[in-house]
Amino acid sequence: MNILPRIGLIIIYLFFVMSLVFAKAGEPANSVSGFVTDSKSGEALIGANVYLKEIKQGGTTNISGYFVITDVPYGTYTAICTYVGYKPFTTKVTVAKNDAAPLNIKLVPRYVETKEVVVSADSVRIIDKLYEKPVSKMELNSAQINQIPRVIEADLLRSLQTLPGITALSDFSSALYVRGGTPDQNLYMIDGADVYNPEHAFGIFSTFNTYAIKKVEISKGGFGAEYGGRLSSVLDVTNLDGNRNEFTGVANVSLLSASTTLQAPLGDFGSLSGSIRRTYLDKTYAKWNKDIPNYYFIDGNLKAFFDLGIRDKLTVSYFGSKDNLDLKFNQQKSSKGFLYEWGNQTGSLNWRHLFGNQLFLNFWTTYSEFSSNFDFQVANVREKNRISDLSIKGALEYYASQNTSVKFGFEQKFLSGMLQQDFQQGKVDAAKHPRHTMLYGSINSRPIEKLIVDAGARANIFISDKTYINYEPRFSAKYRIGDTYSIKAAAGKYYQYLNRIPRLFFASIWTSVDEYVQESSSSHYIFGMQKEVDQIYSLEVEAYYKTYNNIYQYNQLAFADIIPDRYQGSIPVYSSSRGLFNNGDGKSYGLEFLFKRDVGPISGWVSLSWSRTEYIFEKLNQGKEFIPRQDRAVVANAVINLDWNGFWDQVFDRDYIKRDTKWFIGLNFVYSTGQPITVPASAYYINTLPDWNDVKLSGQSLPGYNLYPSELDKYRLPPYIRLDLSVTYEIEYKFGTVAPYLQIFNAGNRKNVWFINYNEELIGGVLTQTIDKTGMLPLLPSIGVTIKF
Amino acid sequence: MNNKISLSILVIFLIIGSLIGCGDPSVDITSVSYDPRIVVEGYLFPGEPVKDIRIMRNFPLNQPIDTNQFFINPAIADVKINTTKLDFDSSKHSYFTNAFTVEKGQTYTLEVSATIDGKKLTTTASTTVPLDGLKLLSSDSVQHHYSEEFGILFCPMTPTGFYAFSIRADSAGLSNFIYDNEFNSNMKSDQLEKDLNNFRLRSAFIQNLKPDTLNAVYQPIRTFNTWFYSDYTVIMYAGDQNFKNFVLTAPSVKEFDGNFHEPKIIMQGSGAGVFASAIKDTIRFSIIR
Repeated sequence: MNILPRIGLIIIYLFFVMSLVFAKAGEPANSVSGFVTDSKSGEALIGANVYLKEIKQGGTTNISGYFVITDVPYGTYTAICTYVGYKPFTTKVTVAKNDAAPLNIKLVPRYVETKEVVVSADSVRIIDKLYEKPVSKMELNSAQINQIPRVIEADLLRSLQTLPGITALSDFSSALYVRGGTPDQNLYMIDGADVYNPEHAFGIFSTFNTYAIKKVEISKGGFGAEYGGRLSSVLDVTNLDGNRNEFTGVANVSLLSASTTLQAPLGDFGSLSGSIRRTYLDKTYAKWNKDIPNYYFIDGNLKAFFDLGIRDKLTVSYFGSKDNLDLKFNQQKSSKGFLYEWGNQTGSLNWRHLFGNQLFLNFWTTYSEFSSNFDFQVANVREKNRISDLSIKGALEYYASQNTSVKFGFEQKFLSGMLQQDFQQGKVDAAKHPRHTMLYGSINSRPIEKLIVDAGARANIFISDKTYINYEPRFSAKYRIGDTYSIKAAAGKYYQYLNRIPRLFFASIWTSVDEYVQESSSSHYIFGMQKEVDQIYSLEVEAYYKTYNNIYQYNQLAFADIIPDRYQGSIPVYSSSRGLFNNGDGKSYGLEFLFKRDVGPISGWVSLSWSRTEYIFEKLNQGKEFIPRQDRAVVANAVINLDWNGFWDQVFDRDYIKRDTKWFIGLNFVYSTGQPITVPASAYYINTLPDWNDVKLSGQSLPGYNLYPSELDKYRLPPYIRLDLSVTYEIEYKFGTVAPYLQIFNAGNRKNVWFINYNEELIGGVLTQTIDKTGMLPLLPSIGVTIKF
Repeated sequence: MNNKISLSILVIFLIIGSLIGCGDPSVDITSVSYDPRIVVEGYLFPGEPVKDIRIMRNFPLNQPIDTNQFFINPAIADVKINTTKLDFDSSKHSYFTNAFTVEKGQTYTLEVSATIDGKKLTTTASTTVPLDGLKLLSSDSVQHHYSEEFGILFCPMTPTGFYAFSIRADSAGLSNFIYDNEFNSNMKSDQLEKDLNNFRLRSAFIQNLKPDTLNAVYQPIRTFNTWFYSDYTVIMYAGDQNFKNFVLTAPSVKEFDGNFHEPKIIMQGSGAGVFASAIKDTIRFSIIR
């Protein structure tokens, strides 16, 4: 390895260590710090705001629920803590010399009161919350995800598809296309561990159990130095730590699956949460209807939280999922078919330690594995596909002063990928064990009162067949313009060393850079504006420009292009990515509007985005520019949730009425420009093999009706429009609540087009060509019940 | 006031969604530009004269096809191989020449000029005939029961690396269809009649075999290759690069999710189809009850 890059890395690291030392030298004597937790469950709350009213200083809780406000003069202050979904908390706090006892704040969930929280001078305003939020980052919690009308099953990734800048390719896929990027450019994390192929049911659903989720953060671009390895976005899922006060649970039964999530305290020192979900079609309908394949998926997670004192917290988390399909082609006959199973397993150990009041350590050891096994008995084709990732990560956050904080960390990944395929007259035997070392650091500073600047850098060393070293500068700035306005900007460079071979109905295969595939990169430039409207709504506008360099797309002609790397006897053996991908460059740009309301009996968001993505690949479309399939010129979304009883209480200004029953109504509307597609330009008749040319036009269908494609992705399907509705009736009992629900997906039964079919038929001696379409999901009602106890 | 705004938004989207969130949108592909192309189906085999070169045309989509227009009128077409003008056999609608015999290892270039829809078009392609050596080793005319595992043994001995098997039932009809097959026991007669040729003409491919291998290679005949109780003729081709590119890409330009992609381009200029060469050998077997 070249010595210069190593020296570069060491210099970067020393820079941050020195920053820490200098910052430490100027450490103020007084600060207010502590943890913010849910009063009922004891869960740490991420992103809560704590604010000292008299001096107008504040801080935001990190992933552990920890906050610190530095440079606080001695005295007594009013500390106000706010968090979406919770009642504001106010307390007096005295700051004195040598008094550094953490302030533990327990917020009470808002659902115990009926009145809408009135934003007033004693709580942090929406504009302040927006100002604290990183550029292009959005957050959802379990309740918000479960309120969005769904396709049978609540689904995290499908919920995210309702946000501006995030689109889906079809009703049959939960994959995320973020600001023109492809799903392999998204980093999925659960409790700190990367997740590869988070898909159930051939991609229709994602693997995340929404009832086990505590919080979801998605960064659509311009993300900070602490994240890397992907070009487009980061989805960070944090599961429930567990209830520290009492045993609680949620059970849900839908038409597809049954699930439960349980939480319990572990004495005084911790808590435990666990969930499990399983589909039951194989145990019910499949017993009576032989046409239903023997298929199920199951997933679950277990998480233990240990409170080892005020300065040490430890969490141990496991997540597992499995899909299993045992398909017989002819159910009437005990014939051959195929077996296919796939799944994820992740585990993480997270230790958080507080040094003093201003230095916070987060240390992870994580393991993630995706594997699939396929056995197509009739054709004697077998496949084993596995990717695993053992990582060690550490991050230090130092709150040097009220105006400066420093963050630096490292990440070491030991990746292992394996693909084995056995088929007649050929083999795939690929195994790689790349290593990825990442170091990063960033400084968050407030040079003037209204400006916050976050500058950082990330260094990557990726060692595979050869060594790649890349640096990624990151920058963001936020500026308060007026009382209700702020503007933001972010820019960054991002590198990716893994590529994915997408396969419809089959789990994607991940490959890493090698002799034939180089690293990909992307640059993000984002500018945004935020405004508080009428003290209860937020309006966010973001414009972005994104470049892609040397990105890879699966080569649809790979079957003809692949070249063996060696032979086993006379049989070809493939072990590299030669011929598998086409590479090229591209760009995406767009403008997004988000109008949102988080509180009150009517909550939700309305968004509008305009965007364009352009690719240019040497071997595609004769080297001319084209618009990829994920491009959507205009997308409009509306997600609205109505608390029916609360709404009328407010309309008539009624006082709180204790009700045993409540109605909730949900609406999800989406309009999007049609998907770009490649359509045939003409038809021709030709035989696949030379001796098939004696087929006559005798009333039988002709072999060899061939279609000649037109320019790549030049045409668009009709606009995609869908309205989903949901009604939930919640009944309160002594033990908890029971909430049966009705969901209607595509309530208007619009026949959105998935793709076009071209057919030909000999009718009355005339060869007639016809065009029809295959639709997406029709009106799909589903029912279920959620029980909370 | 706030709730009025929120309720208004809810109602507006309910109305919009109800109004436009239904219906059956039509697909309009009338703007797709049609370019006329010369369609070539031509194969050369060593030791044989040039024959059965079919010159056809493509057609706009979603319109009836006049079968009389399938083949380009020889009066407006000029077909040459290595400067030798080919003759037209009107009984077979194909071109031939007896001026030379195809030789292994030689490169031949086909050039076709024709006027279609008033446009003067030209297309060319070259093929290098594979060297000889392919030989089927299995016994001929062996009878097998359905579901019995059997296959074809052959010696590649050619540097092409690509082998295609045409597996065709000599007799295919509703009466000898194997209804009790492993894949679909509910085959309806009208569906079967419609897809009869798809069941009758089956294929298998092997690619990238070690070019200089002397080992015998076994190609199994699977149950999805045999759908009739019938005699079968298997013609095995050791094809050149054009043969491989056409067979592997032209019939499968439609992806699983319905989108289309370009095939490998063999015919340069305003052409489509294939001009390729191969070595071939034939074997027969029967599937009995």
